[in-house]
Amino acid sequence: MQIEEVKFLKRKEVEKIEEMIERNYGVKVSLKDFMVFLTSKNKVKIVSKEILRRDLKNLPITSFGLTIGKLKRNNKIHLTIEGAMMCKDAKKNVILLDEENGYKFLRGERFEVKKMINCEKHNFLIVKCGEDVLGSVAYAQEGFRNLLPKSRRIIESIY
Amino acid sequence: MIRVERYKKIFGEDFEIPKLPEKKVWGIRVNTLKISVREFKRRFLYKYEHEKIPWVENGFWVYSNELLSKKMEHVLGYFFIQNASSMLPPIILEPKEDEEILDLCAAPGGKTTHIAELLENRGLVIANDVSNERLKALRGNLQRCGVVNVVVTKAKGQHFWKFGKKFDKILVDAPCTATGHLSPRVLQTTSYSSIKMLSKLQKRLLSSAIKCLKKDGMIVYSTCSLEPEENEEVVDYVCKKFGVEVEEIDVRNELFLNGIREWEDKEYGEYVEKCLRIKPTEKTEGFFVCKLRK
Repeated sequence: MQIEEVKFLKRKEVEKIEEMIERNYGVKVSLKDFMVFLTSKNKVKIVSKEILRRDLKNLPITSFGLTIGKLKRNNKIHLTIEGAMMCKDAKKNVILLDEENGYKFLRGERFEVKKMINCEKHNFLIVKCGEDVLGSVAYAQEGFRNLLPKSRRIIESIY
Repeated sequence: MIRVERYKKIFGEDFEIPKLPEKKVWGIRVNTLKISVREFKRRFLYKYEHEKIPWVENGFWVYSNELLSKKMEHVLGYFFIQNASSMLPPIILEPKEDEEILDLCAAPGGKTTHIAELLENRGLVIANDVSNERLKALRGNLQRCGVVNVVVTKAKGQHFWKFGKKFDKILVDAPCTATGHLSPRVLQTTSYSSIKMLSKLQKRLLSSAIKCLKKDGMIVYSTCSLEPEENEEVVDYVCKKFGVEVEEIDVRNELFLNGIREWEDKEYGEYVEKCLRIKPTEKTEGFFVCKLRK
């Protein structure tokens, strides 16, 4: 497997992502301690700045960094669980679930929302359960769409 | 098939396969990259009967028949399910931020995420493995644990030295027969020829790691096997071939025994006594770990 092409972002470009997060979620997130880069699929990833200081040439690198989200149309960002965790103090586009519904969300089932905080349609909402951030959903005309990747869902087995 | 009598020669005549406890014992490590131990205790651990693992600051045994892997806190990466013995190698490695660190056989990433955590997500770790399937699991765990200081590479560990990169510290948690689990399935499927075959691979992996190591650098070699052919014999081989030295490990516990000098018709150098063997119990799987200096 070869490493996909990535684009390391300049500080100005990173600031645009920080502004996008603030506009959508009402919270300031600083990415200045990381190297931020975009993959060919518009995924936003962060990695330790140490990567620039080390000689990694000749190594068969397949991947690096933590995915925090994916850039979408109209200045929206679909945050991963880890990206959403960075926005734990979000003041808008947040839904709160109780524990039972939090587990339903993590199993990929339909869930009921306890409270919505300044949510706008056609955007991505951060899902919280008590103090925990569980990920994000898309909020469309027809309702919520669970965006938790299958690899992160709780699978109910028969055992 | 391996018989338990073989292990009586290592652990003494009174050695028996540990009985299954009434409640399942889970080894867990709190992922301090995402949550503090104090916060984790307040939000999760208080619900369960638990006990601190003596040699790991943030490690606990949790007694529960529930599947902890299906808990919200696990999905969110607040803790890693890992045998208590497996938490030793990163602690012995003592990673530092400014060091070049390689985890040669990294997947599925229990020890890599532990190293990342000990480094507080600073510095850089190279995590290598060979199979795509295992690398997928490694990447999944790095994401779940919120790790930003790891670069993943794919190569055969025994050929890694060919890339010419030198490291200060290397972890070689080698593929092994896993007889330390002492599960009936493992004991039934393990054969003397598989022990021999793995011993050969382990020698090649450790030799490759030594070639990748800077002068005065450190290697931690570990397996979850009880077999001397996969442990002391491998260490003895590289000490004789490369002149590396076995160092004393200063983490101690009553479950930790010294390496053995004699096995069947073989005799190893006295330095192998500085290796640690962890006796299998209801709470810990059998394990072997060794610290080598170039």
